[in-house]
Amino acid sequence: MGRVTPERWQRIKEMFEAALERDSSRRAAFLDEVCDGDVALRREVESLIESYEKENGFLSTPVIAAAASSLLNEQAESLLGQMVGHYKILAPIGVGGMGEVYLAQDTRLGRQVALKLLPTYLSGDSDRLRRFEQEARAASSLNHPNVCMIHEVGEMEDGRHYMVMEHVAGVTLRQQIASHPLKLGQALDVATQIAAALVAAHGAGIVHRDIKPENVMVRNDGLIKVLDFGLAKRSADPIVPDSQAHTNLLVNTAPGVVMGTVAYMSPEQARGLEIDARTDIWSLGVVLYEMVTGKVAFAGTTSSDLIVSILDREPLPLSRHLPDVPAELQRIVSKALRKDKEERYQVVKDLFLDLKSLKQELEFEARLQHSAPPESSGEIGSREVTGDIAHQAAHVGQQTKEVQPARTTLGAEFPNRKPLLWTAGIVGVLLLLAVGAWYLSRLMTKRGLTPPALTAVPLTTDPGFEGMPSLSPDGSQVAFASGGPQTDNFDIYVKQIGGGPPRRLTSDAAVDEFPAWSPDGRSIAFIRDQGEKLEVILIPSFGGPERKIAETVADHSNYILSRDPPYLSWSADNKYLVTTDRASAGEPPSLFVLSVVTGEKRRLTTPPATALSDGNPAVSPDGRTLAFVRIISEGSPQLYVLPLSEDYQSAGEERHLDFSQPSVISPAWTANGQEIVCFAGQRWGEGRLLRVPLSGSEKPQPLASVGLDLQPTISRQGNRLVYAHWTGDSDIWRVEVSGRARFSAPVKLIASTRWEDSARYSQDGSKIVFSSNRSGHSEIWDCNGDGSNPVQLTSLQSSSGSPRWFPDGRRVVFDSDKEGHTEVYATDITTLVPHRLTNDSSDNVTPIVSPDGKWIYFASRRTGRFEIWRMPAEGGEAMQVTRNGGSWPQVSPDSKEVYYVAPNGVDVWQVAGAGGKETRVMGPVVDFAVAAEGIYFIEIGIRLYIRSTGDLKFFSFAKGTTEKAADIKLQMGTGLSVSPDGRYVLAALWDPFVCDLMLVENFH
Amino acid sequence: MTTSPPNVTAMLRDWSNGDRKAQDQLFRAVYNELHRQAARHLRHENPGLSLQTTDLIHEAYLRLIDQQHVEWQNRLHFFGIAAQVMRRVLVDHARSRQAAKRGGSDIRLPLEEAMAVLPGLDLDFVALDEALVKLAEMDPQQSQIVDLRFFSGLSVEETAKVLDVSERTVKRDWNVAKAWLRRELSRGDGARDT
Repeated sequence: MGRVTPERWQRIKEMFEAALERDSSRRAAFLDEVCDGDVALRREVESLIESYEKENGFLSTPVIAAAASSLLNEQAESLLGQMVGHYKILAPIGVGGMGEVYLAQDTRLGRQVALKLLPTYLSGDSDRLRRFEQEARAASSLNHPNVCMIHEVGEMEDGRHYMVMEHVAGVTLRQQIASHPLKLGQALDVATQIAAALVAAHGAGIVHRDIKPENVMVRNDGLIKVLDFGLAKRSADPIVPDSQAHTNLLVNTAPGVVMGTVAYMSPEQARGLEIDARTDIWSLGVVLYEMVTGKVAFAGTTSSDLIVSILDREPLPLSRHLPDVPAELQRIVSKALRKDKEERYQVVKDLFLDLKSLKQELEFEARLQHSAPPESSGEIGSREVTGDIAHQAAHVGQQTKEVQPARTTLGAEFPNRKPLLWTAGIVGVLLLLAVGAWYLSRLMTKRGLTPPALTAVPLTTDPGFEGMPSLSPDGSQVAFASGGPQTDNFDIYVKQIGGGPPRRLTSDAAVDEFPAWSPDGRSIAFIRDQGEKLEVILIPSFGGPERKIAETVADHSNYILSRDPPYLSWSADNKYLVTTDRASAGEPPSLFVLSVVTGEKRRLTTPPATALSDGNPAVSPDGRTLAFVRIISEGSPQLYVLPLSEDYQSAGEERHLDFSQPSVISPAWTANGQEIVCFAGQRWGEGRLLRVPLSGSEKPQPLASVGLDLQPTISRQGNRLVYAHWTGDSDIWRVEVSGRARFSAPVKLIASTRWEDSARYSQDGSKIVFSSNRSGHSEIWDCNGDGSNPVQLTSLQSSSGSPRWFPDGRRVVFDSDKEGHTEVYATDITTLVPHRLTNDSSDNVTPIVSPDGKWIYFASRRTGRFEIWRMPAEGGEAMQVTRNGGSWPQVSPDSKEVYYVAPNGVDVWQVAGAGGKETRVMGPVVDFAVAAEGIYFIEIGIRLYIRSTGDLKFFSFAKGTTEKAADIKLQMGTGLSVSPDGRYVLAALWDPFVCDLMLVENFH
Repeated sequence: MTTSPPNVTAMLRDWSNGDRKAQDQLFRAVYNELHRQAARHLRHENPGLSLQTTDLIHEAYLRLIDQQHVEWQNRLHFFGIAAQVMRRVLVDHARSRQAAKRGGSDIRLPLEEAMAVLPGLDLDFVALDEALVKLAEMDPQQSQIVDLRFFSGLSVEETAKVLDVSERTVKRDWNVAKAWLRRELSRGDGARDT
């Protein structure tokens, strides 16, 4: 219709109102009468009435919030391109509770970061600000893949503070939920990753306090990053910090709309009571509920309704929303959402474990389903996770050249995604594959009852050494030896599992080690190393006066058994200890029974003259069998069992439990006395925990496989296994070797609690590629040139290493033993699809691309020994370069020469790229890196496990002389490289050994 | 951040006395104040909660207007201007977002983030603005009521007081205005569909 005049509009309005006052059945007649044949008028009024009746909340909610957001957005746009500190604002990312967030460019380090402008109310309150800064700093020390890293807190000229964080490319979990509802397996995966972040944070004493979907980022590859650790207000703060706001908590939002933080508040938080780590457990429970059901756990149209709901109401059972939901998930959610925090999960680790177990169980069921005959496939096939995992299983089994890419989106491709936590799950699955059909069929008979694989979580994560664990009989506590934060004085500590920090039991200046918890739980026996003599000492398990029982002769010549427990073992009746001693100087050490009361010693074993030593005693739970280790020849400790009488005399023949392992140490009995868990392998440092049936009728089963797992201890009750997990921690350091800052202190660039190695700058210096086992396996990673934003490039779940860039900075060549032997692969750092480049069933290792991009040099054993080979970088036949043996090739910056290590393993030789005359350049070295003018190297003098410090030196081609290139106080490792501009050397430097205790629950 | 509020009362007086220049100053002052309030609210730890519908405008009003010396027309002017500010901000924002989409920009603007949790934002503000201009030509008071209710978040009672009309009038005008606007906007949709 045309333009309506005000007069006509008045008439329309009056008739509209009059018609509305009438009952709808009488409106037609009324309009007939008043419109008097004016069809247009009538149609207009009718259409307005129709519109009115369909109104449906139109314009009913004032648009203030959006307008406010837009107002701020205008400001955000005004900040674009501006500098904040040395950060250039690139784009607004979002406005959140804790401030406005921008994508920014770090102009010094050339990386993109997220920059958050903090609320101004913080700036006016110096106490609060200081606390905030402290917490940000504490949070920034959290180095966990699921925690968004905080780089810096700074202040703008106008006094506003800002925080610089890792930029996470992805969406918030809120957006993720809103756009793609999660499948059950995904929800569990996300929850497990959040829980993992919380385990790390709580372990560091940091409570998040504001876990909600807005604070969880889902990175594009599915990795979860939890934001704003420790930044939410504290419990003591008022809920609404700004009293000026006189904000009543009553706000009407549309039903079902999530109201900020309140929906995720724990009851104690909502009440304004003191909160602790358990508040995060609640909030995670609420998030999990929402992820699984798509509905909020607690709803209310006003915040006071919502709070009432949180305090008083139980959320609807998950099954109301999702019929097929596993009962175990309901149990987990319910336990996380107990109103009384004392009844809730007490530590997030327990929640983490349960989530992970459930996830694995579902995955495992799916696997079984996958391997079961097709006719039974309907049984558990209805669960969505089934298909995903079956899909995954198919990939695990495949031996294809192409490996699935790691970076896919969460919504689309759960099965092919390999987030870090998946790694832990897949370990178990791969393990099962390795053990084979026998184990699988055994599990199938117990399906649903047997935990599918060993799930271990860190029990201690303090820096340094925590080892030699001994569980209390009820499994609630573990005694262990630790060198303290400086690893300078070994003492005995006790940690309550799921409790606070460890309690120090002894503080003597001598080395206290090998704690052994008595079967009655009252005492802990341990060894105090006084040099030539070892004292056997007893201390009450809750601490108190020590009592020396006896002295024994130390056998420091025996490296193996004087370093791994058990050194002491209790009799079942608490009256005796079994330990190692030496009857006379000429005899090998053997086992003795020691009376706890009198200190009297009685010899128990007599090794044959050919043996070197008996040690590692472990009395069975019923006291009738002794397991011990006898070193039958150099480097070959073997497991023996000896029947015992009631008074702990030998009651029969020793029996060798031979299961074809060259090295077996550290026996620990399972609670039922039917099996022994021990560490077995090729040699110390390479092996794993095995479960050995005493009967000998079944084959030993491997237990854990990630890293070096040693020193098992099993509780008599409570089904807990604790073991020591050794991780050599090397980090990547940057050493400035030219320019003014030469000889300045090295800078730690890339670090985790696991090792990093083989770091290399890309040609333009903007990126570094390195290898690290931080995800559980040695995988290839990259990060920015300053070490920020580490991204996992491979998920081959085997041992991958030696990454080197192609000159384009987009592709990386590396080696991996995924196929059982080591082959050379290349991957694109954006698509992450690795391709195998070599394929000849010999080992092909340490590839390197020449700087001109034409050749890939590598060491290959295809002639029977390692020689340097090269192949065209874009594919083609490999050609042999060296003839007299060679490994660890490096290419000169002009791409003409190859430098490599000679078969003696220490000298550097040189040959033309196409082969020819081979010339010794220098040596001996541990590792080296070729620069334009010479070679950086580390002098020899370092051995595996026994490291000494070495200097970084420089060999000048022109002068043929060697000089010191940097002062390095740390222990040198390997993986040297020179930056393309020649300014820096990257090196992996080793910390003293790190040994953490790991806990396995539900160990049967 | 601690600047004292501009003398908006005086500006309002100047404006109602015919000083057209005061209008721009007034608009800027109200804009700044609303921005300050919005920023304070949104930086709050409970964004969804503390954004009480009318708080924003009321706090700006309380801060800007000298309560002792304000006349009732000036109150009307204030809320009217506040509504105008809000409306203009939203419309500008909607326009720039449309432009950004056309330009293929994939930068996520904060508003979109906020929209995930804020109600009632599936509106086409540009079309709403155009319809309101038409409505003002037919019935200025109805247009004002929409401004005050929707963009300033005033209640029926407050709107009645500000406009000095009965609550019943506000309700009736509000109903017919909504019905008309809704129909206008859905027509716009239809036109775009075909």
